[in-house]
Amino acid sequence: MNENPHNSVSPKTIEQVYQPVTRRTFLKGTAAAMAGLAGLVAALKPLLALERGEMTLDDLLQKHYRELKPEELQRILRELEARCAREHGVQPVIRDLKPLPGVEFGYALNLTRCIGCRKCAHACLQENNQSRSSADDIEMSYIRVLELKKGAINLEESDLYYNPQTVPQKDKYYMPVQCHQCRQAPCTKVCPVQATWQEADGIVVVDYNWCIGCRYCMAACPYDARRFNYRKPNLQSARINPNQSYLSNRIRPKGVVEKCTFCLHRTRDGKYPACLEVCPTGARVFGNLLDPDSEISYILKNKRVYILKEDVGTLPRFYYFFDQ
Amino acid sequence: MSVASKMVASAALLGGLLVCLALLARAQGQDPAGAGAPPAPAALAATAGASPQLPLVARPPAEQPPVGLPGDAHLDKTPPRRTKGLDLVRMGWTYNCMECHKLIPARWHYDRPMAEHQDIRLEHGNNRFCLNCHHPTNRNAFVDYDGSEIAQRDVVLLCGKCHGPTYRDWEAGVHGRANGYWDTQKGPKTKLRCIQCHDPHQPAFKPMPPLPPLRYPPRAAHGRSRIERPEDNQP
Amino acid sequence: MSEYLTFLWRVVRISFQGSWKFYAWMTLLSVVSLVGLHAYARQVVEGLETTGMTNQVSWGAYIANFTFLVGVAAAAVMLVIPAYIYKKQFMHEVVLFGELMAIAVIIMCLLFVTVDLGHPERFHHMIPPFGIFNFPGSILSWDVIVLNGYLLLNLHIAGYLLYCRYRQTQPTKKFYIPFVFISIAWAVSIHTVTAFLYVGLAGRSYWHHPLVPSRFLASAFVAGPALMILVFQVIRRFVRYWIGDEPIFTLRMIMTVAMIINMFLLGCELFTEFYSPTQHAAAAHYLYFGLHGHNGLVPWIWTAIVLDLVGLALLITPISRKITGLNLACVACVVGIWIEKGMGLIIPGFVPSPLGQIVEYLPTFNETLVCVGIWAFGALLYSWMLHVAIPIMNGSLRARPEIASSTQPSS
Repeated sequence: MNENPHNSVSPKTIEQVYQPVTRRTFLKGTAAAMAGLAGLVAALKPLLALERGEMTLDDLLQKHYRELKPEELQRILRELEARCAREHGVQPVIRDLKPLPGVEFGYALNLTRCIGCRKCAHACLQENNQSRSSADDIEMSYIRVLELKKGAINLEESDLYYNPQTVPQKDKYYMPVQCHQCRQAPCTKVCPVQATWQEADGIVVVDYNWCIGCRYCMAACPYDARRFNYRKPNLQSARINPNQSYLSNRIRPKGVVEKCTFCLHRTRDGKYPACLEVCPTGARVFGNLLDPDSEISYILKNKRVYILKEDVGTLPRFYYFFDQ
Repeated sequence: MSVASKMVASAALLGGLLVCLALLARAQGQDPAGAGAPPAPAALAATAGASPQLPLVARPPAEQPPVGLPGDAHLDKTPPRRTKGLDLVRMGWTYNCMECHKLIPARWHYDRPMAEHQDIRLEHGNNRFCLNCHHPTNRNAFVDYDGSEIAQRDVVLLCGKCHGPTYRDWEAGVHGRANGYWDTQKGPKTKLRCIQCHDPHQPAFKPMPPLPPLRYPPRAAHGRSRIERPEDNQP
Repeated sequence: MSEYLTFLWRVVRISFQGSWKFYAWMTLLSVVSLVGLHAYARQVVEGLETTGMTNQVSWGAYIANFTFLVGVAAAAVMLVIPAYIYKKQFMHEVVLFGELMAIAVIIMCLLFVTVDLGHPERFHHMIPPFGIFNFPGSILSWDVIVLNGYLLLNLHIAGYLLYCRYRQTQPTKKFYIPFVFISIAWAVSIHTVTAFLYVGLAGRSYWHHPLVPSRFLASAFVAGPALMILVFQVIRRFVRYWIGDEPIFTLRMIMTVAMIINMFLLGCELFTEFYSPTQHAAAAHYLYFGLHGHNGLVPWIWTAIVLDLVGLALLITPISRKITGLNLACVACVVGIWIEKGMGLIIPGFVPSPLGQIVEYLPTFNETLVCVGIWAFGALLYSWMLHVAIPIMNGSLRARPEIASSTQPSS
């Protein structure tokens, strides 16, 4: 509503709008539309570089892992294996391992014995097919080994880049951190599409074909345990681990989040995770929390264990303890 | 000088020579600086035989099948320490210490490097006595707390003699590294013996060079961004 | 129905009719938007690696702009409240501009979220029954509902009122009044829910405290009206539509109060963080003073605080009673709050990382182009909407042009 006398407009001002289209207007409009279209095409030109088969209709219509029928899942696994063979020349075996009944995993780390050699971090890279072939790639191992001064847990004073001649250094102790597979995980709570969830054996997994890449879970994690594929993983064929599984170490696409899965392609087969297998001091202890005779139950019964960032209330499955 | 006196003098000389030889022979097998020189090995055996009889406890032999699973070639599971002698024994060599030690008696204290075994320097904390671990007469065996022998392949029982809690943890699988299957119904679980990580004469775990720091975002990490590896940029 | 189609056709016609200044402005915005689109196409191909984000700082310029713009969208409510609750007649002439701005800004927000996703083509994973919607657990799902709901509300209200004006019929109260009142509460909710995205994360102590949503709303109610005041100046100068002084100075009053609250809450925050030397304050320390030699954000935040204080000083003194002073205050406030909400809120939440690692963030050139492109696109949308709405508001665009006059029924 406009009572102001300053305003003396009437339909006459835009008379042209009410007239039918003249040839001149039509030609001008077409020319403008062509120009606009040309601009749009020029803007979208980089999309030509998208790889064939990167985004297929099957991919778009694929259901969430928990809703897949067995034959659909098998078809997807074969398709993923074929894709890996095409792109890297290595034919992997991608399995779908279900949680074992009566098993809940727990992991303990002996801070007296950890010497900070980083063998676990590097083994994780190799076991989980992570991007690392050129100087530009980050090595986003799921394990970060922190060097801390003896006397306190002050993570702010920790050093990730320590590189002395030998470890352990005298006045320091070493704390590897990876995903704690929390019982009250903040990451699974905040995912808008439920692409990440906790399985029956306690492992928090990600369905890489469902994740939309919003990275809210990365903001939510109090332990900096999750990694995002900002680019397509770059792998040398010779270093690909062909024993893969759908929810853990198959080669991920770009744009999705990944994390430590306690090597579920090994542990659901009854084996130890890769980080434990290479630890030279035996600082890592893994097993079934529900089994009273397991090593992890022994630790929880007999050692003074504690958890990291207890005040955040995540109830993790990863325990730290000192031996002496 | 008469003939008789000459004979007495040469007899005395011969006797002195013999005494010297005898003394020399004794000195060869004895610690010349040892003020409280231990009794001869023969005497020790007699003492050991006279110690109180302690009850014998049944102990399982320490079985360690080989480490590692096929298909894990990318994971380095070699034990931190190469064990020389006892591994040779396990492989079937006759590593018979008694070959030399038939003649040469053992020393009790350790205070200087030995003439043989020059690579052995004992830095085992308060354990300064060789014969705390090594059997005094049968050098192919170790010695238990009651004087009985511990076979060479049961060396973990020797360590467990003093390091009880650690041995208990090792038996449970939480001291030292286990490899293989946590679910023993699916496959074998293996563990390492004490001496595959700890040198028995210098048991402190040796510091080792760390693997290099992981490569972090080249754009925003502080300083240490461009870490090159020899295997980078290979096809 | 055919009347509606005619209306749409006339909207198309009028979109391409204007002075050379209009054409120049729209061409410039189109070109910049296309440049941004090109940069985004590169990002689609290469992945988010073209941005400056890292595993430690996993949200950057896109989410920072998103956060700021949700605040601006919420500020349309500051025009609606005086108009419909306090029944100030003079506000009715400008309420529509606020609602149109809310539409353009929400579309910008949705675009910023889309460009931030690693797999935007999988957005249908959020929509049942094709997908799974993690409601009510995930605050991001709440955000999707409230943002889209607010967009639909404003589209309906603005569209309905404009169409009625175009047809010169009295709008039926029951078709828009309830929605207007819903939109008041809804506007507050969009910004509160966006704040709760951050506040709920217990692992990040910089965000995990109750002042965050309060400051969000306070700063939104400064930045939004400030932008509106600047838009009104542009309308006054370039378009045949009169905007009186009363709406502008009502907005000024709202801005002043909101800015006072914002500064007070800032003071509360600074006191809490810095009075005792705790580790929880590490992020605040990084932001205001630098941490372990890393001080990338320090000049930015102090500039923002100075601009905020200058804006506040101008607002509470008679200087801003003159239109030039007011414009200066608006510019200072908008820039200051944009820095504060973007770099001052999002980035310090990630520095230091939960394991104590300090990784600094700087947007890359490609990322900046995408951001600028989206801003240009939003400006393009808003300019276009105003270009269509103002002829309807001032009487030139009518369903039956022969009986149109310059006096309008009240609405």
